[in-house]
Amino acid sequence: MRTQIWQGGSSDRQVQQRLFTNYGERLYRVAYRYLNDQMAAEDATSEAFVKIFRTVDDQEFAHRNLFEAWMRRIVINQALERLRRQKRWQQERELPVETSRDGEDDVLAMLSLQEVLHLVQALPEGYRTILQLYVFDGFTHADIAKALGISLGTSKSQLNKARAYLKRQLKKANSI
Amino acid sequence: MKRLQEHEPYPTELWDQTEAPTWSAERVWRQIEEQQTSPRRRAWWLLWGCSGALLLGGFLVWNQSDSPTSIETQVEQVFEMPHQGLAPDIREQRPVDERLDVPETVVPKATQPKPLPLQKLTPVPPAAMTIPEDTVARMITLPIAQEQLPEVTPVAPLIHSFELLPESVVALPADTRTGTKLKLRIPEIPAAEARQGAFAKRLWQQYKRLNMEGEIDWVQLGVQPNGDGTFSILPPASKASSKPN
Repeated sequence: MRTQIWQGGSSDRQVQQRLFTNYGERLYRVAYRYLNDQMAAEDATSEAFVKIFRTVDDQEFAHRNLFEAWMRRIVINQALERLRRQKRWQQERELPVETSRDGEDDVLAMLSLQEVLHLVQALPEGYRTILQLYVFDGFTHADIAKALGISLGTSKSQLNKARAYLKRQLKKANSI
Repeated sequence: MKRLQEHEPYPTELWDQTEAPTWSAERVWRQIEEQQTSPRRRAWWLLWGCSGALLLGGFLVWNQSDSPTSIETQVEQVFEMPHQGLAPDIREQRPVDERLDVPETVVPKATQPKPLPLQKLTPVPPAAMTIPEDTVARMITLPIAQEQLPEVTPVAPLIHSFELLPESVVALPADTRTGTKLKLRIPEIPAAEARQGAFAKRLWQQYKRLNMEGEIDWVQLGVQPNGDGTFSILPPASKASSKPN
């Protein structure tokens, strides 16, 4: 079942504008979460919308949520492509994967959403991106490795580092 | 308060809670429109270019000389049609003579243009055209036997070696006693050249070419050998005193 929003056709400028009005800012915020730069996030959003308008006719959506998730994925991919262009990920050194986390509190699971959002925005870019992909957007490590052009081990190690970093930040915040 | 579980996707209804600076929706929409229209415009131009190239290529193929549909072939066919009885022959059928035999158009005298007045030209007197001998060249008279005259006839080498003009060689009337005398007109020779042995050598060669017997009369030539291979130009008085006859 195709969502009703596309009844007018993707090439219809009015339909496009309506979709942009409804979802534009949300998708911009998603892009901003990754890029942390207003201009870059706006550019990624516009590129994502062009891609959405071009390919949406070939998609079938059983539910509106799936349609939204699909759009979000496109924006994320667009943002990741921009990050890849900056070659930030190639500079990351591959570290051994911390496979055992026994006895370690899952700090992330204990955080509230607002706390997480605030702390995540303050993370270094490498940590932030992987954490957002894995935790917030439901990417697997295989997806992250593919999307960022890094190895599976790098994705896992970066996520563990991000967790540890968040834990330290939380302790600091609690002590204050 | 909702707690996030590990690897639980971020709820879409909470996207708006992400902290981000206010965005410029107009700028983003403008970018979207530009990105959507630019490729279309490029595609249109590409389409037009391809169409033009195809049309041009088609025309060139169609217009090949050996093609039955080419312009050249069709023009030939049009000219051949009268011969084949497929079209009236509108070309001139009369013979060339008839076509040329057109009566002359008589123009009334009143309308005829008047002839231009003739301008009389005064001829230049021959005396004015002659150049005084003494101012231009020296005269040399060489005695040559009548039977030797044909050998003198090819005067061209003589003229060229002396750098003379053709009219400088003048054959005098035949003398029954001494034979024909050839009169040469030699230009003024620069003193520097006259003193060189080259001049005597060239002169000697010319005498030999004339097949003349006897010694060279240097005085006749207006040149005095100094004995050491050099020559001096004689003053006109000495030359005049040594003239034969």
